[in-house]
Amino acid sequence: MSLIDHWKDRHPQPRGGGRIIVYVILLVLVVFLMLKAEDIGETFAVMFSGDGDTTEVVR
Amino acid sequence: MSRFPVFDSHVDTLLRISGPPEFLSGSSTQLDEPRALKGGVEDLVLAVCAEAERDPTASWKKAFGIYEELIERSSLRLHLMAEGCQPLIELYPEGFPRDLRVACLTWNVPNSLAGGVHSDAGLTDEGRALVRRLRDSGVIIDVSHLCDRSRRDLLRMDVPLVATHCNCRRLRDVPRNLPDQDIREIASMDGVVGVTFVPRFLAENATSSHIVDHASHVADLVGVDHVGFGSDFDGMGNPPAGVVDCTSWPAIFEEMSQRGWSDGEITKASCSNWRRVFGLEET
Ligand SMILES: [Zn+2]
Repeated sequence: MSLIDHWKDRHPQPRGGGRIIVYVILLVLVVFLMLKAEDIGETFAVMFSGDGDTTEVVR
Repeated sequence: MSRFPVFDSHVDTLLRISGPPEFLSGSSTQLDEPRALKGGVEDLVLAVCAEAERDPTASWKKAFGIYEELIERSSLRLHLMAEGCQPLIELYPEGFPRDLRVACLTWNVPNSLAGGVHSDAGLTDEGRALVRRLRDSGVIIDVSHLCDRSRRDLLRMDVPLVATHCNCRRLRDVPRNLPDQDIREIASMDGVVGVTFVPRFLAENATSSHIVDHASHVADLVGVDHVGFGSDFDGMGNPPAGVVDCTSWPAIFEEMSQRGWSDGEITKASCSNWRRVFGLEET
C-alpha cells in the first residue's frame, strides 16, 4: 500500500453526494410544511376537537 | 552485480538523451540501462525537469514520449516524476498520466504554484489546488526544490510528502538541504528522504563517504525506515569523489557496511523504503 493509499485510509472522505441528498430532502420537507401549515393545522383541529362528527356522511 | 537492489528516486536522464536507444544500449551520460543493471538498479524514477528548459511544455512532451517508449522496452521498473509542475497545468487540466507517480511543484525558480530555492515565495492558491488534485490522483508530492517558505506551507497542508533528492542542512547548510525539523515531519507521515549525490549538497570536497554521512544522519534522526537514495545522476556535473556513475552503487553500500549498517538496514535504504512509499512489491 503506497504512502498516498495509507493517507487515504487515515482520511476517509465524507461522502459529499449523500450529504447533499439529505440537505435537499430537508429543504423540500421545510417548504412543504410551510405551504401546508394551514391545512395541517385544520386537520389537527378537526381530529382533536371534541364536537367533530367523525362518522360524517358525505353528501 | 550488487547484492543490494537499488531504487533510485531521482535521475534526470530523460532530458539528457535524444531517444530510447541511448538509454537501452548505452550512452555517454551518467546512467543507461546496461550500467544501471550492473550497479544493481531495479527501480528508477525518471524526472522531467521541464522548467529548467527553454520551452517547458515542449520539453515535457518530448521527455514523456521517450518515457512511454522506454516503459515498453526497458527491463528496469520505471516511474515518472514531474520536476516543476507548470507544464502539467497546461497539458492535463482533467487527469494526469497514469504513470505519473511523484511531483515537485517547482524547480529552483518560482512559478504560479510555489517558490523554488531561488526565491522566498509561499504556496499559491493555484499551488494548493494542484497539490490536492495530485494527492487525490495518487501522485506523491516531493519537497526537494521548494524554498523554506513553500515547504513549510506544504508541511502545514494535510498531504503525505517525500524528498526525492535532498540532504541534511545540519551537515551542509545550503537551501536545497532539509532542516532536521522538516525531516522529522516528513518521517512522521511515513515519508522518505532520498539522500542525493550532488557534491554541493554533500560537503566541501565531497566524497562518497559524505553520502553515507547524510544517510546516517537521517537514520539517527528519524530511523532507518525513512532513508533512501535519489542520486540525481544526469542532473549534476561531476559526481563526488568515489562515485563514477550508476555502476558505483555497490561501493556506497560497501562503505555503509564498513560503517556498521547491517545488510537489512542497507536494503531498507537501497530499495525497500521507497518501495513501501510507492506501494510496490519487492522484486
Ligand atoms: Zn532536482
